Amino acid sequence: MTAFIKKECMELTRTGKLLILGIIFIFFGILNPAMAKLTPWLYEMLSDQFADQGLVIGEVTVTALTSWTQFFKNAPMVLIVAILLFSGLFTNEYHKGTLVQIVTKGLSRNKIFISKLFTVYGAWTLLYLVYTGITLCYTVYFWGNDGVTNLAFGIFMYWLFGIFTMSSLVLFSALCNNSGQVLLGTGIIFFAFILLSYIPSIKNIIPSRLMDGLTLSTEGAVPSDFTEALICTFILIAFCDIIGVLVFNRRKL
Amino acid sequence: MPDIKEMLPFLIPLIIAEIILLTVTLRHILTHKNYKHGNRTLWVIVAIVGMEFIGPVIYFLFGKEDS
Repeated sequence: MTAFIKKECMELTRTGKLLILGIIFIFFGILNPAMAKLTPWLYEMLSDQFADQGLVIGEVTVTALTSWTQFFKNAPMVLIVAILLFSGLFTNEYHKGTLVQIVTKGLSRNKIFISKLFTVYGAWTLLYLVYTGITLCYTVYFWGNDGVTNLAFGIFMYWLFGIFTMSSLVLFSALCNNSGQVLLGTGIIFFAFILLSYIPSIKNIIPSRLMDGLTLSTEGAVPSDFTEALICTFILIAFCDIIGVLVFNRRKL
Repeated sequence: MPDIKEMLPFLIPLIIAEIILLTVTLRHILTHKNYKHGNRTLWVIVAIVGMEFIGPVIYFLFGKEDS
């Protein structure tokens, strides 16, 4: 199984996917504090236009919070890019028929599935750490980290949401035959939860609640507010993985 | 416009990241003959026009042939 994980990692690096993803995550990591730095200038530029409409903009102060707002705003973007590039994880191999050989050599299907799952989790964790690390370094350097509370918890929650999305990606990879269907399925899950979060009665228990990490600093939310959403997400992750294994064991490779 | 010197710590890494991404993509396009869809001219244009990062991603998703 370690050999198969190694093969997966090698595939990621050799096809250049990891490099592309790495650069994009670094790019967005730098963009967050850069946008925060540019905010006063943007307002200044727009203030003439606003003045015509009778709006007066006062002094804009940039703090660490501005940078973290950008961080949580851009996080769905990097997640979508990661989903796009991982969509061919299983389906390319179905297409080429390379999994058949491995199964006939005696590696169990469970192990193939779990190796691929861990590779995706590992890659997402690594890339997310890079993204967070860069924003953190710049933010602390320019503004210190005052006024941001429970930041680590907020960042962890977004990571978990990413893990959930990756789980549904792997589930759809086991269900569907080409990467287009995988993307469609994962996309529907992703946006369905965002839409569901507009319904007040369930908004606090579904996984998309985990995207609101910023409210810990801005609206005085406390980590215990997110307990239900966390439990729900863990259950859904387990559900996706178990169903995924079951489906993958029966499907035609 | 904020002082350009203040923006340098952001600009330099951004430009470097961008150039690496563009070089990798262009090298891949120019050293491969066959693509899943489209032809070389199309992909070079896509990579350069969408160089922010979208162009290369689109190329690696839809253009790169599985070897």
